[in-house]
Amino acid sequence: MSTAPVQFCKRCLYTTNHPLGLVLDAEGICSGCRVHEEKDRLDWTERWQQLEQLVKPYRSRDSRNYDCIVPVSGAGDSFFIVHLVKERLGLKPLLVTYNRYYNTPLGIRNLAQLRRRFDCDILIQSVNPLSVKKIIRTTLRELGSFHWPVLAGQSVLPVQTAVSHQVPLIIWGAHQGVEQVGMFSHLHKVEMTRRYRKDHDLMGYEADDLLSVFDSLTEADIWQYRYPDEAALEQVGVRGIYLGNFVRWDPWAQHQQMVKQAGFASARMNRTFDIFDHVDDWHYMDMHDWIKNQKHGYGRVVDQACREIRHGRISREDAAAQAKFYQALLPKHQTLLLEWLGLEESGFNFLIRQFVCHASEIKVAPNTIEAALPRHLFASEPGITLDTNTADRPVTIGKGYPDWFIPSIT
Amino acid sequence: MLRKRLLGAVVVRQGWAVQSFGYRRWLPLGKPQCLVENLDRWGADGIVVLSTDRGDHGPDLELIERLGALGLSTPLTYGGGLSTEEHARAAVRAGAERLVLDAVLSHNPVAVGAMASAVGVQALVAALPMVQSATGEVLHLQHRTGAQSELATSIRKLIAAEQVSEVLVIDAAGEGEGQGFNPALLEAVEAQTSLPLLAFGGLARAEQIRPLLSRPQLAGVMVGNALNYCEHAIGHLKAGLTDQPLRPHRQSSSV
Repeated sequence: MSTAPVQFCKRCLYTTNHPLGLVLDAEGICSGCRVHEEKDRLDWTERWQQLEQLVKPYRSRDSRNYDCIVPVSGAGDSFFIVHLVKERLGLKPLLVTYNRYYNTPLGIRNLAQLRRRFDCDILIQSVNPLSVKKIIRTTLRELGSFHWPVLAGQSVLPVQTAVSHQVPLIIWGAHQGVEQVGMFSHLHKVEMTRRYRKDHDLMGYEADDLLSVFDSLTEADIWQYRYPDEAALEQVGVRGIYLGNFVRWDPWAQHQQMVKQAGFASARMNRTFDIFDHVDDWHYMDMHDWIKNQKHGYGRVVDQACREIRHGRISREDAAAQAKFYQALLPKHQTLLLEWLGLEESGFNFLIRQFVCHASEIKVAPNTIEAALPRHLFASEPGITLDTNTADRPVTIGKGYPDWFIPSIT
Repeated sequence: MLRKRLLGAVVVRQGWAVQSFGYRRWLPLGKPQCLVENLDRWGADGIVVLSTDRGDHGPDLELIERLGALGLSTPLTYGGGLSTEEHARAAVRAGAERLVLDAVLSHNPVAVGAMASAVGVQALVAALPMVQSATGEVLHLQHRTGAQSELATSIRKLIAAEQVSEVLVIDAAGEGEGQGFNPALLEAVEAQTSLPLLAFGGLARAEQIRPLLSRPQLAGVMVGNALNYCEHAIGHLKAGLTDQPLRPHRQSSSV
């Protein structure tokens, strides 16, 4: 978007090429690092009290109804969010999850554990996979993304459910724009907007923007991803808040707490040192991340490394070494994805090449970096990896895998 | 008489829509076209796009064309880099309905007359960033140099001669901070002109806007950063100002 020369933050690994936008101040520190500083300045006890006041009017007087909608998955922050909503705020949430079809056995197991451990109802949406695959063919061609249906589905299902169930309050975890690039101060208490979803989550394309007379995609394929009508939103008073504005958000610490306290299970993944994010998805930290690297010049590991720099758990130099190492690793599950999509490798690679950013070229061989890698981040490394041979195929959400299915968890 | 307007501001820097804090600090927001499309859907009474880093590079015509292509139902006003008659013509041709003039008012006031002839006085809005000194004096702030001074005679003459149709009074110190608009700035400009005024800077909540709307010369208020903090922010503000002579909230369009 900008023609200005790329600049690097002096504190973290981000550049002004960040797809969410990034601003450097006069000292060369980025907006993300500056907003992160608020985490050590704000009175979080007071902010929690503000949250308690905020949710008060949304408590349902009818025990048959829900107080709020909480979007969840089999990984990420879901356990901690539900812990805060159910056990600390004392709300009765309806959990909603969008079936992304790339489910790992561990993700299915985590989702079942989440439901059982916190004793919640859960609503699962599975969109017709034929339509999903048609949409992916279009978004691969137009946006270089096979992840668009996941992003669209998981961001719209909670809003659709809020309207259909007349439960106006949606509670999300942290705001990605705040956490990564400091798009808003915590003091702004930013809430969910359709604008942010289109602008950033969906890369500027809402469902109807995908329709074209030059494509076979039809309204019948995309309607499930449509944002609810504005009048319906206003009538129900739908409002989506972010817990990260009221709780000092620290995913690494929160995940560890949930492993001990609530039975959340983690795994080693291909292209990152992080053992918690996206363990429910075969492709997020694999093919999706590799494509992100091709398009934007950096992978998800940079996001995680920046987070750890800001929390003071890793130096900038060590973080850069981690990022360089993991970004150089090739994806392992390309065949898994292409078989599901019914695409040839050559055709897939041709589509992705249209979006390659040359900044993504990494010229150092992985094995020359590995020896220098700091290992302390792996102190809590779990005994399993996502390519465990228990079931290296996408699985459908159902009753959930029992713990014995994944040997290292028992 | 037409009712007063609630305008949405989109500040653009290096191609990105940003939150601006006193024109000194910025936070990224996203693509300008997504913000503008959203304000249109929300039923703003007008959308004002301010490209703050154009300097001598002229207006951002590519941006205006991109916004014009959205097929907006809300009037689009553009400011930034406008310093010649040709700039004004090109910006209007690209899709802007009105133009905000800032630096040119000081640097080349003669050009303003030519611009008025080219696109019409009705299309021109003079932007006056103002600050109040510690001694209470209201001064005009030159963004490019940071200099603060009394309103230049040339600008006074220009607005007295009504070579623009409205004056946008900017609370430069409070801009983006959400702490309210300093009414002393409006009073100072009201003493200089009978043109309709617009107020921008520091406005985030209905109770901050209400006292301004009671001023007869005020034609509208403009809100920037605060419109990005929640869904349907225009509707929420208007719902809190139904007792004021503000244009009624347009029902948001659907999909």
